[in-house]
Amino acid sequence: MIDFVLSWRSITWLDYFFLYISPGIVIATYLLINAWRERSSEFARVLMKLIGKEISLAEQLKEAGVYCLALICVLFGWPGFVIWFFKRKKDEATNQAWQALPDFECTPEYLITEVSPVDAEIASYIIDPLGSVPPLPFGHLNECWANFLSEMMDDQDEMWSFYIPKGSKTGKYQFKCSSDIRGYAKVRDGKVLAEFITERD
Amino acid sequence: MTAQVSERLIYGGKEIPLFTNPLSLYLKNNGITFESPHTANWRGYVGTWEILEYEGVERLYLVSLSAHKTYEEILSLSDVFPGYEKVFAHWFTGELRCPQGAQLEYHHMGYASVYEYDLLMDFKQGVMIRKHARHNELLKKKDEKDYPSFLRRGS
Repeated sequence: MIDFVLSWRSITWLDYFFLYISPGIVIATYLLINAWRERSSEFARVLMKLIGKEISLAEQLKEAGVYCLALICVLFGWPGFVIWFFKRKKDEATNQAWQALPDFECTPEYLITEVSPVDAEIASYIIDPLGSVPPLPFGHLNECWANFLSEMMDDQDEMWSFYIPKGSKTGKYQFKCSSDIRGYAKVRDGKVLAEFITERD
Repeated sequence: MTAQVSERLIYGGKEIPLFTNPLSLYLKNNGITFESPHTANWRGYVGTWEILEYEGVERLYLVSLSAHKTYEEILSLSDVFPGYEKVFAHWFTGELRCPQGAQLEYHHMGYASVYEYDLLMDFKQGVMIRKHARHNELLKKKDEKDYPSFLRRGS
């Protein structure tokens, strides 16, 4: 069988033609099987009939015509479909990778200066004459600050303060922020890896 | 999205609706989420805030909280902030919006409904730095004749 396939040589233009459309036949068959498997169930057809929305003969003929046209397109234009299929797979993979990225408000352009955790803590104590804030760095946000510090494990990690002015486009989705945003970011090789927001609306 | 139940603000001895959620940063930072009891309260809580003045400085405090841990179980301020009767919102920088007067237009979404006036208060780290009122007017709705002829119905 393999010898026969390998020894085959095209003779007429018809051979070339069938050789060209054979992948198209495979793709069209695959699409037809899929369409057949996704056809309306008997229950759905009866239901449509009961509510007076039965598909008429004209509509069935129209649908058959559309299928025929689509099959001809697939048979002759299958290289285009193959390119489209791989392009879509690539776009999906790119989109999934982008979705998996963390969504930080702070992007590198909003970084101000590198600061040490000690300096950040000294500047963080809250003055409240009514005594409703714990006497800890960053007051009620102290637990979150502790979590942020615990992530600064690598020697290459730097802590930077950041400031995002009101109205700037921020984050992965580039929404306009409705207030000034300040905080600290964990930065490595110029990339923001974590953030701790100390004030915003 | 359904119009959302507002926060409450006690200011000048009066309780008024507050169309801003100053607690959101605290909850996000600490990874706290609540259960939504109904579609008009997706955030799952209603906070009561008060602006208290001390030596000429007005600060924003959370004085009461009703938060749904589950549909049935409701948490109070002391459950979320143990040991505190009121909480200074030192993380809040931005604008508080308090609608005033008659409702001019209802929008079935968030805090989008339009009222006669908005009392707007700017805060920096929980301290009020500016306040002003805004008079709202509805934009005139377009009539059929305001559209080009090819966009009119029945043309």
